[in-house]
Amino acid sequence: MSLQAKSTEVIIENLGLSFGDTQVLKGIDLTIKAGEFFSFLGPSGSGKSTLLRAIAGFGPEPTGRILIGGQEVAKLPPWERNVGMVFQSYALWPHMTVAKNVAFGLEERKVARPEIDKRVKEALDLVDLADYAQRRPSQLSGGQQQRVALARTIIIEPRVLLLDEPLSNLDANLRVQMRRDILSLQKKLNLTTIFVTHDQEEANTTSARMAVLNNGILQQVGAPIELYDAPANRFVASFLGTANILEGETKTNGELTAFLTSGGLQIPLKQGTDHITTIAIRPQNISLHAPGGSPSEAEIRFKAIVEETEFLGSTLRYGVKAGGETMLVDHVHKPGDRVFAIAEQVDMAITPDHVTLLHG
Amino acid sequence: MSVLSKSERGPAAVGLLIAVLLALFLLIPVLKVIYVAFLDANTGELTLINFKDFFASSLFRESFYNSLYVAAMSVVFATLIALPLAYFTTRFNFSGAIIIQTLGIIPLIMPPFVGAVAMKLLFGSNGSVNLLLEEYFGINIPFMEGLNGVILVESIHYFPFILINLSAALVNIDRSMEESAQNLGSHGFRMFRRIVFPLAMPGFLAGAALVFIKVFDDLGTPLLLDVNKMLAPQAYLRITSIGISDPMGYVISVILIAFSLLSLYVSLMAMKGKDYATAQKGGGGLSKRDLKPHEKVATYALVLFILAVVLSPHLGLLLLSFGTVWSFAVLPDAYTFAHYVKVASEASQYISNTLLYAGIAALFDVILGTAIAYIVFRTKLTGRKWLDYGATMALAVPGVVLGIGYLRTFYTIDVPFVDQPLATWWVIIVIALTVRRLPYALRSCVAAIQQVSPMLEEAAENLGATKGRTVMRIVVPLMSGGILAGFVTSFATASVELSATIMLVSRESDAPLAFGIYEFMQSASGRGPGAALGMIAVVLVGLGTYFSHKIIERTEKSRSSTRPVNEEAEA
Repeated sequence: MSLQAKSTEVIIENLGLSFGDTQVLKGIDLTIKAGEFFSFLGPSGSGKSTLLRAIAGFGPEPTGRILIGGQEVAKLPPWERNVGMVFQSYALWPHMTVAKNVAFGLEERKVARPEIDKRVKEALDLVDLADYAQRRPSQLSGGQQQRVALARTIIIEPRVLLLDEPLSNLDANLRVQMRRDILSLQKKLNLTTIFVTHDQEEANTTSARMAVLNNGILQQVGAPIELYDAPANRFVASFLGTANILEGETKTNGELTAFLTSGGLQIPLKQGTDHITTIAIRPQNISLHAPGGSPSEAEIRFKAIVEETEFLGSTLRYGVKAGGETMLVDHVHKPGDRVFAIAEQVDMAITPDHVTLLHG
Repeated sequence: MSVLSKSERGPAAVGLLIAVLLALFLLIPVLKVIYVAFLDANTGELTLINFKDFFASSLFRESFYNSLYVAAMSVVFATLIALPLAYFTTRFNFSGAIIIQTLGIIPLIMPPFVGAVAMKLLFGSNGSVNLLLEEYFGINIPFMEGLNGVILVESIHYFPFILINLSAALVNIDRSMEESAQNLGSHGFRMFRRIVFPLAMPGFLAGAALVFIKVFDDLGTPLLLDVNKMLAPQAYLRITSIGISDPMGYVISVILIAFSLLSLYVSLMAMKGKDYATAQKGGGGLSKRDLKPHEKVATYALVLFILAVVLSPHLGLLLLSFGTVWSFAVLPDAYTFAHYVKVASEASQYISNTLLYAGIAALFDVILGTAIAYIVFRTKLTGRKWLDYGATMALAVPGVVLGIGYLRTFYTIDVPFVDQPLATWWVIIVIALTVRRLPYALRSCVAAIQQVSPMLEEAAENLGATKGRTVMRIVVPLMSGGILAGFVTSFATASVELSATIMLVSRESDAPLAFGIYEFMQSASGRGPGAALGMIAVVLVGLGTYFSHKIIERTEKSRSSTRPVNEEAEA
C-alpha cells in the first residue's frame, strides 16, 4: 500500500496562545507518541480546537514549541507542515468534483498526472467511494462527505492526522459506524492521529490516551480508564462522568487518617495521605441499604434520607442527604430490586478504597 | 504589527497599490476641488470670499433653492408613488404583486436624462397628454414646465429606492407587534400611526435620503430639460464656459459634497441601532387580508395607472426612436427605422466606445473589489478597513465634482507618448467610471467573500497550497458568481453614466453612449437618433440587470445545496 505513512511523534512544549488580550492556551506540555490515537477532550471554549489548529498552523502564532518528528514547526506556514486536517464541517470545495477535491494536495505538490490519478483512485477505494469520483460534494450524504474529506487528507501522506470534531455533524448511528471506520483506517495506515472532541464517549472508545483541557490549561493526560478512575482534580472528576465532590480536610488521630467533610461525614483514608481538601466518590461506588444491616469489613455506613429519585433506565439515581452532605447514589437497576422511597431512612455505604483524593 | 510575515507581504503590496490609486484618482481630486473653493483666485490665499460671492449672486441663490426644492419635491412625489405600492403588497393579498415588483425595477434600467426629452413630448404643454386634455376637458396642466419637469422625471425614476426600502421595512415587522397593540386596545389609523409607521420609518428615511441626494446631484436631467438654474448644471456651465479657474464651480462642488455626506449620514443614522427586524420564526409580516371586489378594482386601477406613468419615459423614447416627425401631435406622424440606421452608420463609435470604457471599468472594478474584499476580510493588515471606506467614499462624490476634480488635477499632467494632458485623454473617462462604480462592485465582492467559509481556504492551505494558490484555486472560483454579478452591474450602470463623463469628453471620437444621447438630444432633428441610441442603452442596461439577477439567483441556489446535507441519503 503506497499510502503507508511513517509514524511521527508530536511534542508540544510550553505552548501558549492568545487572541488579542485573551490567553486561550497556557503552558501546554504534551507528547503524542508515534502511531498513537490521541484525543483532546474538553468542553467548548477549553482550547482543544485552538490547540489542534495551532499544530496545523492556523490562528495566531503561539509561543513555545511544536515539534513534529523532531522538526520545529511553530513558525512554519500551514502549507509547509504536511499535517493532514479533517475539518468539522469537512470543508469540501463545492466547485470541484470529489476526484478534484482529493487530487488537490498532490497537484499542489506538483506530482505527475498519471501518479495523481492512480493515487486518487487508491484513496477513494480506501474509503469505499470509488464510484463517486465524478460527483459534486453537494450530491453526497454527510457520511460520504466525511469520507471524501478523509481521503483528501490521507492522500498527501501527512505526518500527523488531525481530526476536528469530525463526527459532530453526523447522526447517532452513523457516528458509531464512522468512528470505527476512522479507527480501522488509522490502524491500517499506522498514522499518528489527534482527535478533538467534547464527547467523552467518543474519546474513551477511540483513544489510546487522551488529554483533558479546561480554560486553556492541560488538566490531565492518560488512558481513558486511568483518568476515569484516578482523576487528578475536581474538573476531570466531574467532566468524565458524574462525581460527588466533597470538601473538608484530613484529620490525623494517632495512626488513623480520616477525611472530615464540611457536612460532618468522617471517611477513613489510607495511612500517610498528604493533607488534602477535596475528595470525589462516583455515584455507582456508593450503595443504599435498609437501616440495621451489618456493613462489610471494607465499607463504612452513614445514616441518610432519600430526597430524590430519578429513573435513568439502566440505573436508578438517588439523591440522599447524609449529615450535611447531599450525595448522588446510582444503583444498577434490576427487576425485583428494592426501590427506596422519598423521605425514607436508609444506610449509605461507602468503601474508602473507592474514594479519590483530588489535588485542586 | 511591525514586521509583516512572509504571507502578508503580497496582500500588503496590493493593498498599498490600491490605496495609492484611490488617493490619486479619488481623494486628491476631491480635496483639490475643496481646496480651490477656499482659495482666493487672485491672491492664492485661503478665504471664504468665494462662498460670500456665491450667496451674493441672485442666480446662484436661486439655483441653490431650486436644487433643494426639486430634491425635496422629488422625495415627496416618489413617496406618493411608493407608499401605496408598498402598502398594497404588505397589507393585502394582492395578486398583482408581481406587477409591483416589476415596477420597482423598470425605472432603474433607464437613466432619467435618457427619457427626459421623450417625457417632454408626452407631458409638455404641447405634448400628447395635454393635447388630449385640451381636446376633451379644455385644460392644460404644466407637468413639464421648468422645475416641474425635473421633479416629474426624477420622481418617476427614483421612487423604487423608497419602494424597496419601505417594503423591506414593512415586511420585517412581525404580526405580533400589531397584535399586541390590538390586544392593548389600539386599532385602525391610530395603531398605524403609533406602531406600524414608527417601525417602518428607518427604512423609509434611508430610501428618502438616497432619492434626495441622487436628485440633488443629477446633472443630465436638468440639462436635457433646459433647466439651468440648478446647482449641478451651474457647476457644469461655469467650468465649460468660463473655464477651470472660475471658483464658482468649486463652491458648488463643495455644497454638493456637503449635502451628499449629510444624506448619507441621515440614512446611516436612520438605520443604525434601529434594525427593527422584529419578524420572528413562524410569524412573518403584518397580517394580510383579502381585498373586497370594489377595493380590488380600485387597487388595480391605481397600480396600473402608476405602471403607465412609470413606463411613459420608456414608451415615449420608443415612439421617438421610431417616429418620423412628432410635434403638436398625440403620436408621431409615421414610423421608420431611419433613426436606427443613422445611428448605426454615423454614431457607432459611441456604442463601441461605451462597450470599451464600461468593459474596462467594470473589469478593474471587480479586480479591485475582489482584492479589497480579500484584504479586508482575510488579512490582519493594519488600516485594511480604510481601503473599504476609501472605495465606498466614491458614493458621496457627485459625478460633476469628480469631473471637475479630474480636470483641475490632471490638466497639467501630460501623458508620455500620447502627448496630451491626462485630463483630456480618453483613459481618464475610464478611470472616472471605474472610481464611480467601484462601490457597487465592491459590495458585490464583499457579499461573495462573506459567503465563502474560511475553512475552505484553511483546508487548501493544510493540503499544501500557499495563500496565493488558495486565492486562485479556491477563493476566486467560489466568489465567481458575485464577481460576475458585480461586473455586470458595474458595466450596465457605467455604460449610461453622464455627469462625470460629460465634463471629461474632449473630442467627439472619444465620447461614450450617454454623451452621444446628450449631443443628439440638443437639436430637434437629433431627437430621433438620440432616442434610438437611448433605446440601445436601455436594452444594454436592461439585459445587464436581468443577467446579474439571474447570476445572483443561480449562485444562491447552488450555494444552498452545498451546505453539508444530513444523512438521509445513507440512512
